[in-house]
Amino acid sequence: MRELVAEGYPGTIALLEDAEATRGAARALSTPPGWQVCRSYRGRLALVAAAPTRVGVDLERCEPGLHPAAVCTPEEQRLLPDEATRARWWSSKEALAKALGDARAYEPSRLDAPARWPAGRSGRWRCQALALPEGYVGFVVWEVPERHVP
Amino acid sequence: MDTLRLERRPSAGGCLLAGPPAAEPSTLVEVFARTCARHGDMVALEEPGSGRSYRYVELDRAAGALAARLATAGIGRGDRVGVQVPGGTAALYVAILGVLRAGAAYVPVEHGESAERAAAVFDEAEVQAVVGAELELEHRRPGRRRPGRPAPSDDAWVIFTSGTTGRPKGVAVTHRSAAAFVEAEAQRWQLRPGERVQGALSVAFDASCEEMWLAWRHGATLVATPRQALLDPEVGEAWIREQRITVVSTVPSVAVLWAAATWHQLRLVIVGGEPCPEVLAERAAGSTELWNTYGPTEATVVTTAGRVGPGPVDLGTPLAGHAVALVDAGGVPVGEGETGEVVIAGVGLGRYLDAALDRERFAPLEALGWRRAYRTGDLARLEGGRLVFAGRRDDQVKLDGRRLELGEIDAALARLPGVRAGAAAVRETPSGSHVLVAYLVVDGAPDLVSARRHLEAHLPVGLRPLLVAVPELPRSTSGKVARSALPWPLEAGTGDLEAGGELASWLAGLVRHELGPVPLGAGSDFFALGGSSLAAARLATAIRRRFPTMSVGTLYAHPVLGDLVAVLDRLPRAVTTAPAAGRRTRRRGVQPAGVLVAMVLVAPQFLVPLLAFNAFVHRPWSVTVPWWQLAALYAGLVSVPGRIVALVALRWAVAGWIRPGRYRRGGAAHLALWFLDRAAEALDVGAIAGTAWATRFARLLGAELAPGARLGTVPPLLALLTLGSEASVEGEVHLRTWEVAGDELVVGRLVVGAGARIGARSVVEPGAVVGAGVEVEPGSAVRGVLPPGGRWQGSPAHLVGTAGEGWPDEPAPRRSPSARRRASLRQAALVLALPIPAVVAALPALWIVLAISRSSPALWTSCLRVVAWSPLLYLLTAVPYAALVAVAVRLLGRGVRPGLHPAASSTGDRLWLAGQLVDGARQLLFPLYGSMLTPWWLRRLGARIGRNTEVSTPVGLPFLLHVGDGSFVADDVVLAPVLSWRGWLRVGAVSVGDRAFLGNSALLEPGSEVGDDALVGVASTAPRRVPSGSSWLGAPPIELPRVREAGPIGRTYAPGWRLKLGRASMEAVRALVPAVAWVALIEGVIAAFDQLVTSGGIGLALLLAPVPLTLAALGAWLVTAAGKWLVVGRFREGVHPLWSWAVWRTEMVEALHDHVAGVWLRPFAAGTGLANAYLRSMGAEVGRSAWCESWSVTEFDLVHLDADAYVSEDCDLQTHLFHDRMRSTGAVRVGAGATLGPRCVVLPGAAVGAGAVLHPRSLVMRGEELPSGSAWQGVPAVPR
Repeated sequence: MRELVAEGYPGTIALLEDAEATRGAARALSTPPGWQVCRSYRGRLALVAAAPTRVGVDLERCEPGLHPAAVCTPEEQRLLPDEATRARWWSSKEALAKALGDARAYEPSRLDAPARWPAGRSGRWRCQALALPEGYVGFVVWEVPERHVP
Repeated sequence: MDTLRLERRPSAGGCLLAGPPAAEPSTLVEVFARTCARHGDMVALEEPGSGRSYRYVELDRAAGALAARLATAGIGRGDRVGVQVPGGTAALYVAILGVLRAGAAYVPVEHGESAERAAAVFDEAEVQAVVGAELELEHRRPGRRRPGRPAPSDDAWVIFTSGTTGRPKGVAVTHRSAAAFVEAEAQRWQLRPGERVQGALSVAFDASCEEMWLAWRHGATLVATPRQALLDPEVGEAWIREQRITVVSTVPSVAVLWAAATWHQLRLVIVGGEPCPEVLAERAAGSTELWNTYGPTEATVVTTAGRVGPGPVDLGTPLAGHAVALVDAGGVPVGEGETGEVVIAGVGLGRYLDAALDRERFAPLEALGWRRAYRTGDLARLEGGRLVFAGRRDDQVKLDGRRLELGEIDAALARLPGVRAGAAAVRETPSGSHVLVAYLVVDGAPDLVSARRHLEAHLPVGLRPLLVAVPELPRSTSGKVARSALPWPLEAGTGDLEAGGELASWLAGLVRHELGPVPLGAGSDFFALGGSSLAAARLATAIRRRFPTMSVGTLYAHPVLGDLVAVLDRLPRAVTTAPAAGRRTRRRGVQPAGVLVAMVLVAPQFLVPLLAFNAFVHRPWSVTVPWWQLAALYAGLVSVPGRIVALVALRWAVAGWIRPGRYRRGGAAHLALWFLDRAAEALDVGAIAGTAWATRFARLLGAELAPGARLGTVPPLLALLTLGSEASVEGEVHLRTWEVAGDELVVGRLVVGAGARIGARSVVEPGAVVGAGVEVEPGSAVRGVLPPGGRWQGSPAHLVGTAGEGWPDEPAPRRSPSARRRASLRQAALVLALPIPAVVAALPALWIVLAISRSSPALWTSCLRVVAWSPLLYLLTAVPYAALVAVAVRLLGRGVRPGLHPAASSTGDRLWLAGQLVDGARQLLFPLYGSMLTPWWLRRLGARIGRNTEVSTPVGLPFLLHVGDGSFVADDVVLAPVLSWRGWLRVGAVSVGDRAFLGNSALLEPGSEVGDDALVGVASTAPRRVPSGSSWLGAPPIELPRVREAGPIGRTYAPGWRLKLGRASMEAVRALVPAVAWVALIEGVIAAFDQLVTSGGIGLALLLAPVPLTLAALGAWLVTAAGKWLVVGRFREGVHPLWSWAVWRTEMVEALHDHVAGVWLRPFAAGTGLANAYLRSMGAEVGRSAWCESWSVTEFDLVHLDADAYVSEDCDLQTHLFHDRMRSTGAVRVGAGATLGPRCVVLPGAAVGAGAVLHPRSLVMRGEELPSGSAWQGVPAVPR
């Protein structure tokens, strides 16, 4: 297990790389009371993010097959993203949808990819790409408490 | 072609075909320069996605700038430059032209290509640099430092095709060849300057050169087309229609998917790259010219071309400068009727970068004396002078229009771990599409999943063969793989998909139709089975016939067939629609008659003031009518009681026979109800909403209202309405007792139970039953039955809680019967007195008119003088009126505290009166809205508005409004409507922070707080508390963070004084022109009535009232249309900041449309052919028999209503958005026979498919497309 760093992020993010123990370990991680926890698994990796605010984390493999019409807004489709970009956008959308609460309420083709937010900011939301092993992409999205929004 | 020669060489025993002589040597740069000189101001290139376009001179400049950068880097003639820029962008074409201008050859690689393949191509071509997506240069090796324009002998491009060894092979084509090809095509096809050519093909595919140069040779416009349009046939067709494209070059397998309407639009279609099926000729029958072309990359794109007509398709005849011969294996020309290999010679011959390969494939053809000829490997024969394709000689195949060497695939297969041998073959499926099948001989158990992953890294993008494990590969006697003996069709295997029921079995049939007889299970992955993007598009198209909301995206998201079946099961089924012919009945005769009657109903509103004026002031040309006649006219058709009586009479006379049920759209019931809407507009009684008179009116119209029911909305004239005791309907509720859906008119009774509440701005659909005590929150859409006691919100309404939360348990105290009578009389008096402020304010202006009349010798002299004085007359009326309204509203608002008040109280009366005055001011003082003066004006009415805030046309009581600095409140935002429940009224303030954005038609309930930098989207209901920095969309709202639009700060939030001065000037003109037109039209109509009364009394004036009113409507039309074309010309898609001339010019046209045509033409024309003609004259595309009642149109040229489309009143065909103070515009399309219910909003770039139904209060998001025949509802819209 190793800890990942995201600038300005008020909580912790752990990357677990053990193929066998990943899921159990991810569940066993303890967090301070009142913190929100979000997990994401792909293959032999797991990400666990915890923070004293709304937080979402997502981990994807860079695999082809994400069609623009399925994962991009019409505006994003016009930008003609390649496979790698689509995977990044998709992962950041997943992280945001989890942070927002009911991820199923969010149709990806109607959600602007946080990966495109200028400087990783949209109002009180922040987004950051995570440094992951090659072949993986992942994002953390969190909410800045309202009184801290500049 | 007459100029072609058919030469027979008896000595050789064969024949050859040759085109006319080639054009003089030239270069592509010279071709472009010639076009630029002739058509410099025409548009050469458009990127509709971004609104970017280049005229020829601009494109030339942009290309020149890139060429200069290349030259600075030492790159010029003889060099090669890679181009890897995303397709569908203007930058791609600028890059190509820039490289050509620099004298270098361009080497294109598709943007999404794998890094390995791109590197292989650029290394093989030894490029000096690569141009990237932002036109940035990546330098690879030093250039030859030979700056200058290219010579004909220099290479123009190097395009790579698939190679037998697994290595791609580059083909270089000189400017001489390329320019000759362009000129040769120009001999075949003449395009008009400005004609629109689709630029869709990947530039790594040489046919893209045809698209580019067809446009640029003739001064036409190349429309950069996004990749999505190629991937999804429906998107592609919609694109062709929206972009008004008339010339397309494509592959037959795409063209064969187009609908008849698309063919009808296209003038010239050129297909190539695959055998052209005969069926295409039938599709193209009509005005479309369809040509089949043939030619390898090695001979510069196209060698032969032939017009496709009925009968077998041939390859046509050679282009100028090209020659074709058919030879046998020994290189000897074959005889007529015999099959031989196609060999090409002439000006078009390119060369391979690989010298050895070049010598082999471009060897001399001794028998014809050709020193250099290209052996294509294609087989053909000559039949009666026609060149007919007869297959391939070798293993080269074409798939989805792209040429592949099976050897390259074989080599990739052989490199797979655990694979002993592999061979690929192209197989035809039952649908006629082609599938690439890879046969593998593996060691041990086959791992096809990891094999696929390896292959994807090494094969061209998009190429996904169907992998099949076989025990061994069949071989011929020479030891080569006998591809023809590879198994096909495959055994159906043990697939279990069919066992999953009827739907699964149906899907299995469709999948096999695309992929052949492959084994299918619930866990089978469509793409792993070899489904290509085109096969996916075809499958989605086939599924849409049964499930119209199916998208290609759904297939990509659910490629596993078992999952797909589950998803399909949840999708709405196709709805069948009746033939369109049923929609067009009886309109032609009945509607004009209805319009004439509506005009007669309006006439007294002009006659009464005129006759009253004449009674006081004697003018030589006027007559005075007796007072009793004047009083009778006023009482009968001008006063509110008179209007009520007239409307009740009309309701029973015209629609007394209409009962709940289903009727034909456009039939008698529909026309009767349309006429009642016109009558209700002519005899507006909106002032009685919220008073006891509204309930009395409703009962006269046939509604059943229990005691204590309250109507804050004027009931519909077809009042099939039941309201229980203490039921309450708040303001601006659409009580729909009828609606159009597809071909039907549905009439239904509405029932609102005792004590129920329908919130402001809601829509209640025919047949809805709202249970007792139910609360429907503002902005909801109600259909079906809502059981008693719940609280409902959203569109469609969802149960969100229990009714009555936050309201008192007991109903509000009611007035005693005598107090009720007194209140009713007081309200009646107030209704009658409402026009008084306007009349009093008009007295100074009337005094001037009087003076002018007295000093004028004749009526028309008087009229002209009044018109000349009209700006002053308007100001003299508007200023005192504004002052009176401001004082009255401030006084009425004083002491109104947030909280609960009995509706039957002085506070209730004050709120009603203030609302009426504010509504009236929005009409008469229109220049004060949506302008720099709006915040100032709202402050006068009691609102607190910060600095640098933009407000358009807010709805609500201003003294309850607080907006901070730098915010934006778009059109028609409802702020703090008064809520009502069992005799109580809830009043609350709305507070909006700094830099917030409220989209048009958004709704904020009383007590709402919107934080700084927050956004509430179009047509959305804001949460009670909107935190700072958050964005919300929908009803009910969901949080939706977004990407902010970046605009120049000096033109969005912090304009300089010059811009402020410019906007102020434009707004002064914008206020003045409609005001002058307004006064002039009123004066003209009154003068005409004056003449009519003088000639034949009031009777003649009423009888002939349609004459002056029609002339006024036509005048208003003329002024508005002239203004539109003079001020803006044609609206185009684009993005402009708030502080820009483009935006101000648009607002000028809006002012004319809303306040001139909207006042004089709309009330009569809505839903008629007149409205269609008007919209067409403003630039909109309106199909035959479309029915449009909406006037909410701004960028007219971006609106497309297809035949028989139906657009209800209050719909917004919204071709622009103003997020972050940037106005971005895009087209809106409503397909043939589609229906838009009331209060629907369709955002820029969105399309509603043919026959689709958008139910009331729905939002189609930007860029979304609703499939044909589907039904939708919601904010945002979801399948219903």
